[in-house]
Amino acid sequence: MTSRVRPLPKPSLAGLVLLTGLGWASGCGVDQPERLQPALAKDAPRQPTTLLPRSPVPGVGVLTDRVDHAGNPVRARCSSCHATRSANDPARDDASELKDFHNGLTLRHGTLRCGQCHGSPGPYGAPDYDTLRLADGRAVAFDDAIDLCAQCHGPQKRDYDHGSHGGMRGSWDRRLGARERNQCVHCHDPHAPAYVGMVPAPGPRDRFMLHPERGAAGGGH
Amino acid sequence: MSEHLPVRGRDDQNHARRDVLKGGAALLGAAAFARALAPLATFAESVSTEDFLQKHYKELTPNELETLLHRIERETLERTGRTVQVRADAPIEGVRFAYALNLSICIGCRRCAEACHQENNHDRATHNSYIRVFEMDKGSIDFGKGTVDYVHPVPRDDKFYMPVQCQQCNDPPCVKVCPVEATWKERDGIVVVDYNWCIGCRYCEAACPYHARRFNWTKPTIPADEINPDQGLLSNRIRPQGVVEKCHFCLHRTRRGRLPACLEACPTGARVFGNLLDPDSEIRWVLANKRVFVLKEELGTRPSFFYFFDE
Repeated sequence: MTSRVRPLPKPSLAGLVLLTGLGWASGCGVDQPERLQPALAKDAPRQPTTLLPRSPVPGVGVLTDRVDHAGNPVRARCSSCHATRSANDPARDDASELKDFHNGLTLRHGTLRCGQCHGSPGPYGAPDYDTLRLADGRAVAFDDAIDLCAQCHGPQKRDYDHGSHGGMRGSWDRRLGARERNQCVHCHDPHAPAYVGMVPAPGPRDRFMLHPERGAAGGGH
Repeated sequence: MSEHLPVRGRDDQNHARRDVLKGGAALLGAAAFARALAPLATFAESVSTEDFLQKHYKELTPNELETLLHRIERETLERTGRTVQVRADAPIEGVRFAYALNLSICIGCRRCAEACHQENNHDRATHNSYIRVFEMDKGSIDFGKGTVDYVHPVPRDDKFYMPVQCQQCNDPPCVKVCPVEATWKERDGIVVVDYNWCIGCRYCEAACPYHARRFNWTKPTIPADEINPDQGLLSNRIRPQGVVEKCHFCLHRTRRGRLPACLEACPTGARVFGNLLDPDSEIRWVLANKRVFVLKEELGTRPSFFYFFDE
């Protein structure tokens, strides 16, 4: 039986040229040249790294619950008491028995004692409690406390300087923008520095629940 | 013998039953077909003609790119009432991005995943994020034993925490399997997806060994006041239904010099990001001085995402 199917017309050269021309004219399949932003110059100026202030209330001293005439919180400078009275046994390692001030302070920092960080030798030999002290007695300001922590925690300070500890906000390259860094005390209370931990942010709510027996809310342990 | 056996005729009872069954099956089939085609009824609303005829990102002339960005901004304004800015920044020359994660100080708090969720206009219903944090037993990297849905306070002493996101591989399996070249690796190392070109076949999702790619089964829903207006065409603009998406190293931020959102949110500073081609960068120092490894190295994907320990 002869086939009744009509054969397709043979593709003509004109037809092929027409199709290719249409495709070329419409830009079909042609990548544009790659766009790039210019490279960073090696000697371009670098913007600064700023340390976040260690407290919203500037200054040295214990925070009181008072405010001054302008409404700013008032700090009681250490020297307001310690210029005239000596600290009650700086060799103590437990602050819980202090009665006159610093009540309720917990000191849980290895075998450290108050006098190892506080009270650099001031003029006339009396300790100056408005600054901190390094191991050799040199004074260091409270705002530069990172240098004090770095004495013992050198590896963490080295990691911090190289950006792998303590986080940052701003730019991955300071030629493109400034950067802000935390201080140690933003995460580690210097009197009880062990990292406290936190409750995690909520996890994924998948289309197919990972653990159906825990229920839709993820349940609790 | 010319006698035939009696032949059942059309007026038999059996045939009536057969007709009813055939009719019922045909009705069910038609109903199923109509149900299957139902999404097409809303298709016309969710996709404009320009969207449908959109050229591939790499083929857009600068003028067409401008037009596309403005169109998306206009459509977002119409649909959500929010004015957004969609940009298409080019890679910076001489930059190859890499990321490192410090497993010694990651505490598994998921702030990175939460920041990603907010920065990248993710679907609120599934609380989607490009980052998945695994709680793993110390001493092994067996993801089969890791959990991602823990709710207890962290960190636990006997566990370590490992956030996983797109590794921006240097030999990406997802790019190789895409049948339409909707995903490719850019000059600065980021593997991007052209959401207008993606056909939603999910081959890339199957090919990725890290399960970094997510498919939008439904239209992502975000309350208008939670939309991040600083958007990138290939990154965090609100994705349509039916496309695949993944971590893009916040290229709308990083191509302008800013840190990715996950890094800024990390409270311990476990994340390190930078340019591999800059010898003074933090990422280069980490790779040279820390005990660094990559996930699934034996697969040869050569990730740009590194994990390290301090000790």
